[in-house]
Parts: sequence; C-alpha cells; structure tokens
Amino acid sequence: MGIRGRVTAAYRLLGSRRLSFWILGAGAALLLVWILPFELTGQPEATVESIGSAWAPMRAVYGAVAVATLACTVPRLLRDLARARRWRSGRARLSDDAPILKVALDEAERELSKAGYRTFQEPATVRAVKNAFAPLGGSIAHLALLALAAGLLVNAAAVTNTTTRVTEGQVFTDGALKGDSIDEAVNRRLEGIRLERITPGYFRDMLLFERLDATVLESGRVNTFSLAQPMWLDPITHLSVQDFGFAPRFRVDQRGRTIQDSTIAMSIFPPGSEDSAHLQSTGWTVSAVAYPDYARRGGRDVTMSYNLRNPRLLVSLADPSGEVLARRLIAPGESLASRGTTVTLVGVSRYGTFRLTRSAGLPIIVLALVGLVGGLTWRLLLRRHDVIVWQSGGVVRYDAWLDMEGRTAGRRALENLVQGVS
Amino acid sequence: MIGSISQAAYALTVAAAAIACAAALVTVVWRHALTIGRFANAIAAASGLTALVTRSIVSGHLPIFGTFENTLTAAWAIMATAAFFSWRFPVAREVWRWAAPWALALLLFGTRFRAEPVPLTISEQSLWVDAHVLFAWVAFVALVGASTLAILRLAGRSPFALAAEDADDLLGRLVLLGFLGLTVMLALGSLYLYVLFAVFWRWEVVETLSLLAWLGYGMIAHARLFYRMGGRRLALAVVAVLPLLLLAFWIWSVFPGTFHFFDIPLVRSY
Repeated sequence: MGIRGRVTAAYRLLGSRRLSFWILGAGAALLLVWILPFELTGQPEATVESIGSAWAPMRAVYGAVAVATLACTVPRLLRDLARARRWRSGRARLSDDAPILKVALDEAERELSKAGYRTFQEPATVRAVKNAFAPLGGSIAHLALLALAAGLLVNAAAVTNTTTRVTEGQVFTDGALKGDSIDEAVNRRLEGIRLERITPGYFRDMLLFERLDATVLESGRVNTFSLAQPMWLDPITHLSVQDFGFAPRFRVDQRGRTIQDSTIAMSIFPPGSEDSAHLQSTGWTVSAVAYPDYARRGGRDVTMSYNLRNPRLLVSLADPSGEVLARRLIAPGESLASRGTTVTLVGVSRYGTFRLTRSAGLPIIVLALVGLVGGLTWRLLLRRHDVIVWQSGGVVRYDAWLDMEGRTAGRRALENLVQGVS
Repeated sequence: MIGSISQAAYALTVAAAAIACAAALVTVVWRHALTIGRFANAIAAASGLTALVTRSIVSGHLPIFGTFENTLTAAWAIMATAAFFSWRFPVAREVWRWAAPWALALLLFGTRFRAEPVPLTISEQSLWVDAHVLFAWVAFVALVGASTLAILRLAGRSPFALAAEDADDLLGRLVLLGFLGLTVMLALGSLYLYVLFAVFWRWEVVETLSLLAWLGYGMIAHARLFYRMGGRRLALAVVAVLPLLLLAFWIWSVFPGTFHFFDIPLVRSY
C-alpha cells in the first residue's frame, strides 16, 4: 500500500463509527472507574476537576473524540449536502419483485406532490423525496459538539470570574471587581453603580433563603437583581449576588479624636459564626459574633431570627500579642474602651458578595448548544423518504426507503400515504 | 383548605396507584383486573394532577423541589402518559400494567422524605430550572418506558402483541426521544450553571452520572440507527444503562454531597 493509500485508510479509520464507539466507550469507562468513585467518596471538587479536565488519559479521550467526530462528520456532511441538492432518490432501486401500485403513474405523482414530496419525472418513472435535508441535522449536531468544545476552550482561556464584597452604600469599583481583563465600557459602567441595599428573605425564619436581592442605583435608575436573575452589563458580562453578610461600622476614638471610622464586611452570618478584622489605627484586632434579632431568653443571649431587626454584637478587642482587652455584648451606639481608646459600634448594615462573570466563549457555547439540540431534533423528528414509482410491463411498481429505518419502513410509509397500494 | 385538598389528592394517588399495581399482578389469573387497573391508573393520574396543582398553589412554585415533590411529579408523569396512551390507542390499552409498578415505587420512595411544601430556594427561582426539570421528566418517562419494554423483551414477552421488528422500532424511538430529552436537560442545566457559578460544567456526582447515561443512550441510538441493532442485544443494552439513569435521577435524594441536593434541612436561628 502506498502512502496515499495509507493516508486514506487512516482517515477512514478515524472517521469510522466503530472507532467512535470504542472512544466513547473508553471515555465512559474512565468516568465510571476514575471519576465517579472520587465523587462518591467525597473527594474535593478541585481534585476531581483536575482529573476530569487535566489528566492525560481524559485529555486523550477528548482529543480523540474531537478528531473522530471531525473525520466522521465532514465527509458525511458533504455527501448529505450533495444528496439533498440532487433531491432525487439515491437508494430506492427498480426491482422486478417490487410491490405493485394500483394507481396510474400520474395519479401517484399527484398524490406524492400533494403530500409535500418533491417529484422528479423521468420517462415512465417518478422519483420523489421528502425531507431531503433531514440527514443534515445529524451533521449539524455533531459539528455543534465540536463548536461546544471550541467554546469551552475559549471560555477556559478567557473567562473573567471575580468575586468581591460590596457594602450597602458603596460603589462597585470600591471593591475588587474592576480589572484589566474587563472591558473598559464595563469598568465605566461599574463605576456608576451603587449598592443601595441587600434584601434577604427566609422561609419561616429558618435558614432557607426565599430571597436574596441586591438593589442598586445606576444613573438615577433603580435596578434589582439576584443570583438566579443576574444583571447583564452587556451580552457576555453579568453581575450576580452570591451571598451576603453583616457589615458593622466601628468608630475608634482616642483622647476625644476620631482616628478611624470603618464599615467592615465580616463573615458573621449565620449567627454563631465569629470573624475578626484588623483595626489599622490601633493595631488591635476586633472580633464579633452577631445576634441580628437579639433577645434575652432563659438567662441566655439569643437571636429570634436571622433578620437585622434588633442587632447586638458580642465584640472582643485584642492587642497584637493576642491579649483580650475587652469583650462585651453591645448595641449600635455602645462602646468598648481600653487603654484610653474607645471603639464604638456605630451601626450594622449588610454587604453582598458579588460575582462578575465575563466570557467570550459564551456566544459560541450558546450557539453550539442550540445547534446540538436543534440538529438532534431535526434529525430525530424528520426522516428523508425516497420513493420511486415506475411503469413496467403494464403494471406500476414502487419502492421506497426511509432514512435510518430502511426499505420496509420506507415502503410502509408510502403504503400509508398512497391509497390503493396492493 | 387547598393544603388539605392537596394531601387528600396525594393519598388518593398513592391508593389508586397501589390498586393499579395490584391489578397488574393479578391480571394473569383474573381478567376483570384489566378494567379495574386501567380505571385505577386513570384515577391516580387525575388525582396526581390535582395534588400537583394544589401543591403548586400552596408552595408558590412548580413541583420541582425536593425528593417528595419530584417523586410525585415523576410518578404522575408516568401514570398520565400511560393513561393517555391506553385511552388514545387501542393497541396500547394495557400499557398501565407496566407503568403502575414504577409509579408506585416512586411514590413509596417519596414518602421517606419531607412532605411539607417549602418555597424554592434562591438558586432555583428561574424559568431555566423549570425547563431543565421539564425535559428531565420527558427523558425519564421515555427512558423508563424503553427500559420496561426492554425488560419485557428479555423476559420473552411481546407487549401489545407487537411483532419483533415493531417492538424494536418502538424501543428505538423511545430511546431517541429520551436521548433528546436528556440532551436538552443537560444543555439547559449547563447554561444555567454558568449564570449561577460562572462554569458550564461541574465535576460532581449527578452531572457525571447524567453524562454517563447520555453517553450510554447516545451509543445505543447510534447502534440502532446505523447498525440496526435490535432484538435481545438492543434490549440488553437498554437495560444495562438503566442503573445509570436511575442513579442520575435519584442519587441526590440520598447523597447530600452534590449541589443537586434539595432536601435542605430547615435550621432555626435559635
């Protein structure tokens, strides 16, 4: 075999359905024995992700699937396009033992035309085809899979996924959302968006969020968005609220002079969680536990709900050596004092954790998924039906072929269509 | 009031499904059971729909949240499909016999979980999720139907007196419909995942099992369409993928280590 022959053979092998089966089978086996057990045994998602996306055998399977799909689909697409353009039967054949049609050739042609078939008349023969483009659906679905892979690669290389905390009253670019990778127009728009409030809602005061909305003010217009209904800044960039928490505002006074006034986003939600922050002006650490809906019950400090109705914070101050200087449950307006310094809890507001997502791969992936679903639907709902009716020896015979289902199904479909078939 | 109607309708659904299931078992020795079972299945489908509608009014959302609601929805989808086909097509008059055991098993499984209607949590409040779940149930009903037909074929039975070739055709069409449903379900889920978490895929157990089931049915669809695989081999292949289908659709009920876990414990603040 010469080089050309070998290349052709290799190409045929790559594009063969048998090889595709083996590759898909290998991929499924890898998922079954080398991904699923890790997931079921509770391994961290990052570990499993590194296997699924970066492990050499998995990558080999992805590459092989892509190459085999391309090698299989392109010739098939070209062939189906050529056949569709010809819109004449390529499979149904004249045969002496074909069944007999008890109608005249002209009448058969009329029936087929009436049923939406495109007919092509030759001497003593009528060829007809319906859904000539149906086979293209399969090629479209397979090419869409390749486009999906391309979109995912673009997404992996170019996705921006930034999260930051923004407190009520703050402008978005005060946080860390602004970045070089974000489009300048998006940056400018973020500079004009101010977080007005975060509105959580709980089912019967239990830890099941019914609602977590962010209300923002942009150019005098109020806009509300959430996790499931994000704010789209442009067709490929969206901003969503992922989480929220409490942001106490502390004022630090020394000898009658305010040396710091800061609102600090602290991870003290749900109640019971403790978080600490550094007070730059003093070098001290402030820690807090939240009681958002404070009450005293049975001699204990409790919170009656998750709502910020009557907040108290259990605040501790510690010096750089870790020595606790003061610790007390305080309400907004109350203070802790130590070594001539007073730390006052001015108030408690909320912050939101926001995610800004931007991906150039998004339009490709959306189109690919639409192509995949559309192509499959097209392919599975429509069947190309090739029909041939001819006159021979005084009788009219017919044959038919239903794509992917064969001659028997094709003849049956014609029998259902044309009256008087014997 | 509506809550009480919902509970009563649910109880009637379970009872009617149990009667249909019992009737399916005794039809071999008592032919009158065919009429009783068909009627019971229709009652179960009607009362199941009532239960779902009233529950949706009470909870404020479509019945897609948590195992209890999903088992009820899936069982209803199976029984309603069976009722429709047995009413519309004389040849499929007895289809309820094969649907009732699945529906009853799902309903009984659902009784082990919290039945109290709760609102959707924030990540589920989207039409994307509704569409994702809708196609999931389309796929589930079609593929459970295909699996049942395959099991019957392996047991040497020919349901609805179908010729072997027609039974293969029906099996192939059910697999194709289910495969299409799975594809749409995965596509919608992937896009919504991006909206929520900025990724199109997460390596977690429900997604991996769904991908495995999709690959399995995809391979069967190709084998059927291009190699005309049929008979025992086709039935065996469909039955082989059934565990993946069941795990993909229900593992989240018992395995909390997935973001598809929706039987969220309700924790009070005090």
